Amino acid sequence: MMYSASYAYANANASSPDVYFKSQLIWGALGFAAMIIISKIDYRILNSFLTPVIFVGMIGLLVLTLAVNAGKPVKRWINLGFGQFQPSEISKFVLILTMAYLICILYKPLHTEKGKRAMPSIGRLTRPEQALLGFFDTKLKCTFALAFVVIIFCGLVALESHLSCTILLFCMGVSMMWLAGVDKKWFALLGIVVVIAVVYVVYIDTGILQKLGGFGYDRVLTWKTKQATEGADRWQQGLLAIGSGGPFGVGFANSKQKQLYIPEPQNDFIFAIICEELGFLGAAVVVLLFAALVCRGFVIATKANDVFGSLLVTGIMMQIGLQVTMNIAVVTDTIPNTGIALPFFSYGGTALVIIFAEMGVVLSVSKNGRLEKQ
Amino acid sequence: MGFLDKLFEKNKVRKRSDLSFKKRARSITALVLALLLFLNLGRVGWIMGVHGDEYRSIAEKNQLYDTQIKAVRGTIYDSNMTPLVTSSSAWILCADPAEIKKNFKSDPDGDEITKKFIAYLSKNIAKILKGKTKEISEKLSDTEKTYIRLAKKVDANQRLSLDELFSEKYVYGHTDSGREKTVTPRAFFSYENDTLRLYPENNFASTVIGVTDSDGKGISGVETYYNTVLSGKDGRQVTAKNSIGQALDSSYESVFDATQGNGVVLTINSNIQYYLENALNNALESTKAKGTYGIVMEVDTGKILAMSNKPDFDLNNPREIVDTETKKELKAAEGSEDYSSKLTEALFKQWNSYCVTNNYEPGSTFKIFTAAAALEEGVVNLNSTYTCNGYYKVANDTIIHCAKVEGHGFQTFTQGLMNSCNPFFIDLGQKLGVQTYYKYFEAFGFTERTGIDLTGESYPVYHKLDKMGIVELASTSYGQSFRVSPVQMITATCAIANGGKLMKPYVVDSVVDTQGNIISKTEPTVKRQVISEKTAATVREMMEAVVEGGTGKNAYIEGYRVAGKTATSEKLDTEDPNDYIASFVCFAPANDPKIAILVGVDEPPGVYRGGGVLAAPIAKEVMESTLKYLNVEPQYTKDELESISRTTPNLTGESVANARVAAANNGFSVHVVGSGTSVVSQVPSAGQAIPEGGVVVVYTEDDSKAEVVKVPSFTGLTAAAANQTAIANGLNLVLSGPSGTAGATVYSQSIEKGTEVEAGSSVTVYFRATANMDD
Repeated sequence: MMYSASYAYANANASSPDVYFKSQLIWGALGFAAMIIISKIDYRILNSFLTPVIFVGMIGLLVLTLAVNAGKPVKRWINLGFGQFQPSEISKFVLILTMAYLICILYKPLHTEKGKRAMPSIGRLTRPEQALLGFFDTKLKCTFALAFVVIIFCGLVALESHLSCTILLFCMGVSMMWLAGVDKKWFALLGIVVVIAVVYVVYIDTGILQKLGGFGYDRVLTWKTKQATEGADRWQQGLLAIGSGGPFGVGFANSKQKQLYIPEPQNDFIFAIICEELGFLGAAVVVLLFAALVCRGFVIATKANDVFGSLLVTGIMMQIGLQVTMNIAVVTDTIPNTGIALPFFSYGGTALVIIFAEMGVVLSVSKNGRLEKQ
Repeated sequence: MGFLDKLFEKNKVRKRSDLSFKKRARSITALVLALLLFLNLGRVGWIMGVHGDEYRSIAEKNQLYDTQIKAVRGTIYDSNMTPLVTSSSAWILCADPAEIKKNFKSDPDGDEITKKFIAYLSKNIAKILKGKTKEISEKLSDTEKTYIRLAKKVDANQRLSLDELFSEKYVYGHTDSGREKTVTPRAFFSYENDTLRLYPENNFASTVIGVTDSDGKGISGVETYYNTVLSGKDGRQVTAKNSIGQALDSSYESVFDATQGNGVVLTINSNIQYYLENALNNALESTKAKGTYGIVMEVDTGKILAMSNKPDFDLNNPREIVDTETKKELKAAEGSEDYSSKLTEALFKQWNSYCVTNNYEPGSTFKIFTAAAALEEGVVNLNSTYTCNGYYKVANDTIIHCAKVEGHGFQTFTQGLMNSCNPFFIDLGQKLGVQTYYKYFEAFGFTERTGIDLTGESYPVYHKLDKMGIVELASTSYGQSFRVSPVQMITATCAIANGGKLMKPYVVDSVVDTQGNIISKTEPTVKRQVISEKTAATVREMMEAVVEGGTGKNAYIEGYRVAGKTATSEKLDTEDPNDYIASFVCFAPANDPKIAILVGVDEPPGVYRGGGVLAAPIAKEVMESTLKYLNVEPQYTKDELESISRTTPNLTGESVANARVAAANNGFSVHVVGSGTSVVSQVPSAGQAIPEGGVVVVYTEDDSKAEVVKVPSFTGLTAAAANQTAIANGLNLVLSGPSGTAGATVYSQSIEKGTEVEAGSSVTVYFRATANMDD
């Protein structure tokens, strides 16, 4: 699919029509290897001091990225000499990891209802972990601790001007907090705030985004007014591609919209090409595959050996599910263009390797799950 | 391992079954799944289902580059399948002025060079296409545009020249290193398919064939009426392109071939059409009339064998106004507001077939229908008589005069028609009464259009039944005060010729495919039986008498029994009361008519303006040629037989003395050239009909030089005088027309005066009578 989608674009913009395909193939192979290796490693190695180290390293990396790119409008890339690297791609996994780790430590206060018998901790905690638990000893405190982690991630990535990743991180963070057992009232409150904010921004005063530093202003405005800006052209051409598909599509590699009508069709808008070439049937197969993956993830999570594994798998599945949803919602003009990629399908080396690595973690959890031990 | 064991110590503790987590994980997974399935897939389905067609068409509009492949228009054939109009492939020359500008953009003098380059191109293209340099230059100078059509209908030769021009390098300067800076124009031009209508015959049948507009659509004549048949189906070449306009590879391309239009076979016979056009042209020249027109129709079928009006236009140059008067008027109107509408009107008037789209006053030719009606109703028979006093009094206060002021006196019915006596026919009309008369008027088709397969047929203008009083009846009886089209008139005449059947006239005999296979054929349509066979036969006899000894004698042809009727009608629609139409309708042979001819001379100036004098000779010329062409067996009278049996004997091979005797026996004299003893050749050759007393020139030696004489002018001479002149000049005369009628003189001759011909050659001279021809 990637080959087909990128062919025309590469033909026009790069030295060889299959340059994107080849590059993606190499990254895919690397990712696959990483997945196999990681699946062999017991995931529980992460439920240790390694996670705080990774967390700190991640924060450092994000700050470094900001520092390196100081002065530039978009600050999300680090040039490694042989290619560009997006730390924010990794941050999604690190967020899941950190949250899972933290939730395991804070399991007791999180699950102790007011006035009821205290829940026991899970596992034996190291001394620093015990100290942490000692500090965050009430459910409210724990909630704030978790929220704090989410806000740190979101804040840093937002400063990188990586809007899509910020939103995704936010959603995933909230999902993790939901899994952690945070009181439902907080989610209700958050829901109300988000709805009001969205309604205000979209329908009442889009200009406020500009006042707040131009954050996504253009994209929302474009989505709202459908003005023929460069961005508008992208979704418009995407819609035309989807509309052209019909039930069975125009056939693999026969897309016309990829012929430079959709800018960079191998990236975020690859789903539109899928729709055009493979029709509703193809699109349904792709969506159902993702749905099956998410379902399978749920099964693995519930049968996992421990809470940590369950949280990791569910978190990763949330990431994939939300990313797919957001991507398709953008392509189908349901929400403003955020610039989010379709997992496994879109072009992008870092993202592909990481998603494979994450699948490796899922496999590892699955392998060490109760089902197999029985 | 101790370290790692310690590290993972807590993980060895098995997880407690955690219902809370399971619940929460299930709910959030369900949410994500719902989003995936309903929000995403639902939305995709919605877009495809609700907007699919709309989006697809928008996308295709963007993606597909649709080039029309013009269908080659069908051929128009004459009745013998000789192509009169054909089409061939041609091209539309397109250019990309924006690209020209872009090409020189980097040059410091870019604008200057662009201008010069465009001037160079315009000049040369104009030369090849015979167009105007300025027009082409203006189009090319519009350097904002990426696509313009420079010229349509570029033919193969022009394309060759253009290709040559475009491949020539144009030098526009030198680089710093002294190398020439050049550009090849080819990159800025492209061709698209077009077709070209070819008219090898120029004016020939132009008003029947009609013209096409710049898109190749018919706008007059057969071209319009049969436009859908001729058009064929345009094809399309659909090419996909990417967003920056580059064509994608050919796997994205689909070609829908154009289907060539079908051909139509006219009922027009080129030979007969030629006779008609030739005669009409000559008549136009000799009479100096405003126009002449004529129709030749097959009486049994309603087929139009020839139809023309002069002056007419050249199909290769249809936009040039032919009529000098109209041209003057247009010139005067130039620059005025209604100029373009006037021009359009004039052009369509020129393009349309006069015989179909114009009405005229039929005048005395209409008397044949009054006669037919009266005979059919029994109010008159061949024994009826009437005494003409020179006028007829209708309704006590309206007096209508006869053409002959002193009156025709006592006459039989046949004599009445021969004299074209108005009072006689007014009387018949009055006897029939309005109701009965109108019944026949309607039956002969004068209240409706004929339905001929040509566009723009005019509606007749006549007295409707409720408006027809006895005064109107009187004028209608002799063909005045109403107007019908010539084609209506000849169609009705054919009804008399063919035994009472009113036919539907037509000009297209069949539609054929590109291989010439007949797809559909027009079958003759009998509209109705108007009069009985017997009545028709009686009217035919009377009409033959008109040509034998009445006002139509100028149409008399030896051996062919022509029946006809003359008319000199007053025009109702012009201011000048002296504007007349001289017309003549006839058919032959009278006992078994094959073809009918109508000829009209519009507004002839001068003394002679009667149909018998002006129109009959034209009809006769056409009739004679046509009947001969159609191999209609001549039926000579006794007298005629005697005169035509005088043919030249074969003298070749005889001795000179014997030749003299043989010639004398046949009533000829011999003129010997050379000093030989036997005849080697003779002029005229054996078996030629020449008048008694004619000269046969015999050559006695092989190398004897042919004696050449100049043909003198015979115009205005009587038969006797013409004969003398011919003998004096060593020529033989063939007399045509009513040469024996007192006062008949030559008005035309077959070989123009001053032409050098061999001594003894035959010259046909055409006579016409002018006395007692008023009708």
